Amino acid sequence: MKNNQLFNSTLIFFLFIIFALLFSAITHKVKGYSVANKEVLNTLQGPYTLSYYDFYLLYKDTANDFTIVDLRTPEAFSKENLKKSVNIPFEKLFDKESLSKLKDLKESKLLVGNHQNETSLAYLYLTSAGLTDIKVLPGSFDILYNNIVKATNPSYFFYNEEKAQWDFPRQMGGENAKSTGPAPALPQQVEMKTPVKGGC
Amino acid sequence: MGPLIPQDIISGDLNFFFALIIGIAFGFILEQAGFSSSRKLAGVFYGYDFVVLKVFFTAAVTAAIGLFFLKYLGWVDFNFLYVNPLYLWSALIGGIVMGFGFILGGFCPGTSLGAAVIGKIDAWFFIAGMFLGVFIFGIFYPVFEPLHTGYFLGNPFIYDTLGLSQQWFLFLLIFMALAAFAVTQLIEDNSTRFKELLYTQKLSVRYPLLFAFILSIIILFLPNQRHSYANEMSRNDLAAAILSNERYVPVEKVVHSLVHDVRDLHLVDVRPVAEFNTFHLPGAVSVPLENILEKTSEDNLTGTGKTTVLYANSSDKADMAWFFVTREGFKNIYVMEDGLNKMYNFLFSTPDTLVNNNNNMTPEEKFVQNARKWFREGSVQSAVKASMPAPSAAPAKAVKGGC
Repeated sequence: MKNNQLFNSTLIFFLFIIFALLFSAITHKVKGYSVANKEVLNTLQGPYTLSYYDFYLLYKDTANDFTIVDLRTPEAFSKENLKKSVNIPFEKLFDKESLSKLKDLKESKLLVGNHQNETSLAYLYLTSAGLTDIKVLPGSFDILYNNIVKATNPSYFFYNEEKAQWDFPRQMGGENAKSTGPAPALPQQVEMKTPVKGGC
Repeated sequence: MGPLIPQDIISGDLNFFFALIIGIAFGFILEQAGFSSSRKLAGVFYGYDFVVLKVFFTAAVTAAIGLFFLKYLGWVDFNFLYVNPLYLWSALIGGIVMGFGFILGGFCPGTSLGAAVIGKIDAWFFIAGMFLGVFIFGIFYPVFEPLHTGYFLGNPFIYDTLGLSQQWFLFLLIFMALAAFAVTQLIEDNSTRFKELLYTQKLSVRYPLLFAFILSIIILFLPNQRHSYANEMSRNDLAAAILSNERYVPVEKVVHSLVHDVRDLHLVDVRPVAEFNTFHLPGAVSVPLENILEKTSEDNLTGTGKTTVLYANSSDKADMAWFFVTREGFKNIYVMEDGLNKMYNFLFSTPDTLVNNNNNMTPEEKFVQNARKWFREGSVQSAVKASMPAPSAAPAKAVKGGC
């Protein structure tokens, strides 16, 4: 019966999808992310940091919409802080309350903390949790406060801890260094085939 | 073979073997669908038989729904799919030429082969014409080249161009297909020619339509796509790992391991390739941060039997790389604390001691002096100049498709 063939094949297709959905719903462990790892990585392609220069321009005018999220300890925060800033200590950043508090903030959020790596990790974590409109202020609060806010030192306008501070090969590239260890493994070369186009 | 060959589940050597099997199956299905008859094929243009439209639309919708759910469940990586690049002129002109050829010849290339196999003479002529056309195109390719490669638009997706979400686009596609089926059914019912031919038995489509409708509703109201995979670390565990600071390896340990040739650390440089080429620690491998999640980086991160230590100029970039690989599910990945800047400071911030004063040195000073000597000795050139091929962002192996 031809009728049955059409019915059967669509039924199998339909049931397969339903069962796969149910199966994954039952066996799936909730990991709690709302953004995929790869997509978080892709956000780093855009300007995820705000240079001190841009911050300087932004901070000058209070009419600008932004909130500074200060990741230092409450003690340090109470001593000196920036205007329009909220204090969420890094240790408490991963609590539920902190996340909902940050989610309620409508303005764009600028992260600043004790160390640049902490701030970057906070950025990655919050982006994974689904927050948007976040930017990282490089360096640390102290560097920002002393060189931009309290007194403006233009040589710090493009400060970033990740920059190489020294000429490494000058002192560290000796013969001994050359002779030890295996040769650096090259990343696998990606095979580029001429794509074959198909058609009917 | 779908995602199986690019992910090395099946060896790529078997590509042609599977191509043969799939090709035979495809030809068989075309023949069974009645596509070896040029009258049936051309019917769609004369408005008496729409089975071509139905079959291909059904195939497209079935594949779209299947792929959508496979992606949703995390079983298929969309990056491995080959998307035909859009050359606007060749798409437009090729489409028109193909359409006219279809009406005039009564076949499309695939169906002509199907028909030729069951012995239709017109199909043989069609194939001869096809080869003639290919021959002319090949000989005069320089003339056609601007047309063939003109107005390249990359790999656009319709839903991106229209600003729709994938879900809505699929929903609309299903509805378009169903509407097209209904309209063509009406036309066929009123066509006397179709009744004369009586190729097709009328099928009851009530339940299949119902299934398609339910699926389209499910697609529209699916909760947020689950991005997590089996090995992925949960968010709470990751937060705990971030706070624990157990990932840091002090610079001193790395220096010790290098100078004394312990070879217990597997150093991974996550800085850009250019910086790696200028200077890197001896024995380090380069995995730039933006490539850290790629399949090709996996071997460089684990499986060496040593402790993997990520480093960059400071902790910042290495910590970010650590975040991605730890979330991805890699275990026992460490970070060199404060990076190369700190290492340089550690080694070269004190003045050089004269050899004579050796006896007055503390063991710490001695260690620094030794390490300094070890790093500095010899040429000023960077340790090993590796000619790094720029890792391409292109997917490893594209899946080629076509109907």
